[in-house]
Amino acid sequence: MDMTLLKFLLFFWLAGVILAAFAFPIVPSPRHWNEFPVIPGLEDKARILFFHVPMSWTAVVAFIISMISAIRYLVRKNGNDDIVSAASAGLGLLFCVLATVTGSLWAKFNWGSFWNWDPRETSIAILLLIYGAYFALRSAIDGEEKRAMLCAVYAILAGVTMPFFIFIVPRIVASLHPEPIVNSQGKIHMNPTMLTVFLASLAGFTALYFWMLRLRIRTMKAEILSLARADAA
Amino acid sequence: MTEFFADHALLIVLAGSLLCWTGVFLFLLRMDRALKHIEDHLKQG
Amino acid sequence: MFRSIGPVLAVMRKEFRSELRTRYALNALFMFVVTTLAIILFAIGNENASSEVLSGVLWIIIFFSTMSGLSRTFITEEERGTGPTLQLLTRPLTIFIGKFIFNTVLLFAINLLTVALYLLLLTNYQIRSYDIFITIMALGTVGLSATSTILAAIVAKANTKGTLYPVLSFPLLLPLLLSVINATKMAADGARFLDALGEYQVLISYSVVIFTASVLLFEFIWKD
Repeated sequence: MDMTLLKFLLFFWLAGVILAAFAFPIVPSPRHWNEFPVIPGLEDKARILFFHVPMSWTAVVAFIISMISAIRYLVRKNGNDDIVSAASAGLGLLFCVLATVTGSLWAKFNWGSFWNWDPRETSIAILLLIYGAYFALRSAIDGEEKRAMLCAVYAILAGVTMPFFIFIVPRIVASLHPEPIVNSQGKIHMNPTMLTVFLASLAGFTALYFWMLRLRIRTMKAEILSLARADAA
Repeated sequence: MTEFFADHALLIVLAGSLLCWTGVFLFLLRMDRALKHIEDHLKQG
Repeated sequence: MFRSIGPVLAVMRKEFRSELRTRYALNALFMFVVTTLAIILFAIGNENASSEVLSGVLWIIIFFSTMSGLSRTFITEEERGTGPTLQLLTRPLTIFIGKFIFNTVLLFAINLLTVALYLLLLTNYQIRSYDIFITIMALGTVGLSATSTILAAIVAKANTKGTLYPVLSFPLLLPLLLSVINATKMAADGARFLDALGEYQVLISYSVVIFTASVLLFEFIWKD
């Protein structure tokens, strides 16, 4: 396996993103390639968007993959799909927690308190609850096949309610989330430098997620295999 | 002291983030290698 | 289409009969509502709670009475060992729809009781727009019943049956609860019927989505 090179590439890639995100100066009217524009009301605090948004994005990708594997499990009844689904849900939970923490830190400095029950915060809290419940269910069922089946069903049910949280709830209640400022009318209002760093971060986090997913799947498979060996012995 | 932190806030955050990322990366790398070891072991036994 | 209504009605009739025989859910639900209301009355006392708080409290009672009343929907089949017979006699879809209709009727009855007692006992809580209130009650009950029915089926197969049910239900029911509480608040404040249009949309789409998903997924839970 010659993935080692890719892994180191990922290390330098995300290190570069971190460097750019915190070291590039923020100026009123950017003229050089390494300058960010001022976003009114956010200033230096805008820098968290390079990490907070990719984290939430990765969390959503992880949940979608978890749901797709759950559907595949129900269709093909292959134990592998259940492993992928559970592994991805775990990572989704992790990235969701990271997004919550970074968002909460930002909220402390921008809105004055760590938690304000802003619609975005409400939705992410609910998302955390759903996946907490998913793992509670996982640990409550004995039979492997039965567990895989019921968890897949629950993951799909949770997946179909997700759009309500992510889209409908925040849209009905007014939000103070800065997305309307940065991303008004569906158009991304970032200058090319910001956009480049942002997209690079997005790609880096997604790659990181897939690496971690691979590791998690291999761990779970090794666990199952060694348990089977222990039983046989 | 506080002035120092206020003046170099961005630098401190930058260094902290880089340190965190390096730690996470090294952890994942080690986990990868350990897993490979275990997988080889399981394949043999 | 019409031919499949017969078995659904049969499952429903069976549910009603076995319920009327033991009256487990009815008695438990009735006592649950009464005790919860008593606790709330003691807690509030002569305090003047706002309509926002009281709208939320009303739905907390409804949520937890649903959780205690409908949790046994499928557990009874497992306990009595009637599941395999039911599997032989009819298709999973029929069973799900039959149980769903029974649960909806049960919830309607219990919600009617809850709301009547609530409005009677908490004199300073008044509904000003009954059109919003009745619509929201109907839509909320249907959504609540659809979600609780499918989750009751999942929980019946797990080891820790009782405790897991509200844990699994709460996050899935939250979009419903949030919009229903919001609309109840509006009804108490006397908003016009169309002001709560967004809430109706959420509730209707939520119920449709959950019901469709349940119909598709129930087969997987029910088998084996």
